[in-house]
Amino acid sequence: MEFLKIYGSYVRMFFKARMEYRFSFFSGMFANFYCYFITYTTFWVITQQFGTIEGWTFEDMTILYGLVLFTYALAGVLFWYNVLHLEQEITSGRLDGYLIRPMGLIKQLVCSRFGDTFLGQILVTLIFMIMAITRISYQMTVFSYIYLILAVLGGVLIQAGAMILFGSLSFWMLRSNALADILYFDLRTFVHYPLSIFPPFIRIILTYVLPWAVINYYPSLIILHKVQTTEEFILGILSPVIGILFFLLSLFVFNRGLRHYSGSGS
Amino acid sequence: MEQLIQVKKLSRDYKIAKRDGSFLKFMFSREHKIIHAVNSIDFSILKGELVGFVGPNGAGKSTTIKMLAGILAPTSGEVSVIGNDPFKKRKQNAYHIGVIFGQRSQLWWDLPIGDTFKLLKKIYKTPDDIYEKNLGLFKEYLDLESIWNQPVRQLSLGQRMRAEIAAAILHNPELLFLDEPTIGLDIVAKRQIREFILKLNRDYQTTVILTSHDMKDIEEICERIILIDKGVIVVDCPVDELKQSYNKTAVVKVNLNEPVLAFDIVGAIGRPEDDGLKWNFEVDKSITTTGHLVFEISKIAEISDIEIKEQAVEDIIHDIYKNGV
Repeated sequence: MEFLKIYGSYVRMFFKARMEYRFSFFSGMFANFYCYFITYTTFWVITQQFGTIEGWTFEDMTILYGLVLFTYALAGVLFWYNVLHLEQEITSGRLDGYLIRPMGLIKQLVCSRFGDTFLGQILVTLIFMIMAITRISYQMTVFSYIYLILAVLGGVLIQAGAMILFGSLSFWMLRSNALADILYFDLRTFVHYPLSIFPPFIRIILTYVLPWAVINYYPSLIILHKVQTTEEFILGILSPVIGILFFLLSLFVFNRGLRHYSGSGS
Repeated sequence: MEQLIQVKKLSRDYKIAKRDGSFLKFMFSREHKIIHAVNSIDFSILKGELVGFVGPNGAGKSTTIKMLAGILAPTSGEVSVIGNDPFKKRKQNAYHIGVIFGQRSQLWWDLPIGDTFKLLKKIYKTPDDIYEKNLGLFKEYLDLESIWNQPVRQLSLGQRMRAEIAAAILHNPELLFLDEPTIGLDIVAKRQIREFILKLNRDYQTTVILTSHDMKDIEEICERIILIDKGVIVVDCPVDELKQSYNKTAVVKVNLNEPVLAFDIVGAIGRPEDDGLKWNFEVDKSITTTGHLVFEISKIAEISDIEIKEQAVEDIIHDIYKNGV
């Protein structure tokens, strides 16, 4: 594909430029690795002390949290810097520079900054996920592995959709990132834990209003054979489809926003 | 001649939230003030023209250029650039235009310019032969060979601006927008850029639209001037015509060998300095000429030194800003 080739050239250029600041590059990666390493370790300590969290063992928790972090980091490599933080591109006036090029705006925003800092999270998550899956491999089937890949893709689409959605809000209002902090980052922390430990309305919100639970909670129920209701099963199985729909919705909002930006300029 | 740009009754409004009084009112009121940044302007530009957009800050120059480049949608009116509606066909339009924002870089800050060029070649799908030919041209006329391997952040402003221009025209655009291309540059760099723009126009019939606050840029590059003020076109004529029709006065300074207390010359108002040894005359060119004035003075006193200052385009435009047409 034409776009992949161009993206590849951008990434090569990014690393060439980044190597001018080698120390900052590696220390950024290390900081991310270290920070999330501690989170996984915390789960280990908690589950060691208390046995399980509502029946979720350390391996279960690692898969639950790993799914959210892994999909976040993959989407972040592409969308975190210049799509979610679109307001910086707008306020600096750089957006005009993209609009004079014969290439789609989102594509250019994705190309213009490779999210290198997420590589640390991807690495640490891969280590813990592979470890956890190996230890529960007795309950994994061929279907589980195929489903896992699809669920990861669906999760990446939801995370990417969230970044596009909250980023495009800055077409209407400046400083939209505060909203992303509350509705995306803060609310999403709930899904680091099994939703059954919270009051039911939290599960409703995180499923039907802001679908962050579809990223990891329902897929984990399926992979870990913890499904209890038909609703949970359907949401789990459909998570890749929900991802596609959510992503398309976010693209629609982005394009409406761009028209509004160029149309009102304020 | 082929018409490249056609603009009819083009307007562009900005909505601005009213800020009167209290913070609460500002946060929750939905009242807006509409600003007519560009107000029903008409013009057309032919292939190969060199046009200067001039006007005070906030006059609507940049808004007009952004509408021509496809960045902003017009509020009303029509724009056609090389047969396309630039906003609706933004990507098609992009292949035909090159844009330089003097205040903003398009180059990859930490890499040598050649890396940015390679990427632009891919984005614009520029054929190898055109790319190679253009690189040869730029290295020769924009002096890029000597800075080819330096990261952009180490370049001087003049060097960087030369590279910006090269980056903007790598894909052979027929139409070039230059928004303050010489801002902050020294005389040598300014001249080099002016000469290169003229060369592009001569050799490739590139159409150039330029905004600048440096009237020297306009005088040396442009054949035609479009003066915008408060969103409307105030003047649209050849630069030479502007000079002739608005150039109504000249200043003549003379040093005399003996003091003179008073002159009575029709069409010239004189002011003495140094007890009548030096005189400044303002000549009304609709009544007399500078030549006649000098002749009249020399009948009365011997002139030892003389300086004649015609009104520059800058002065003419300053007068139009202040007093209207």
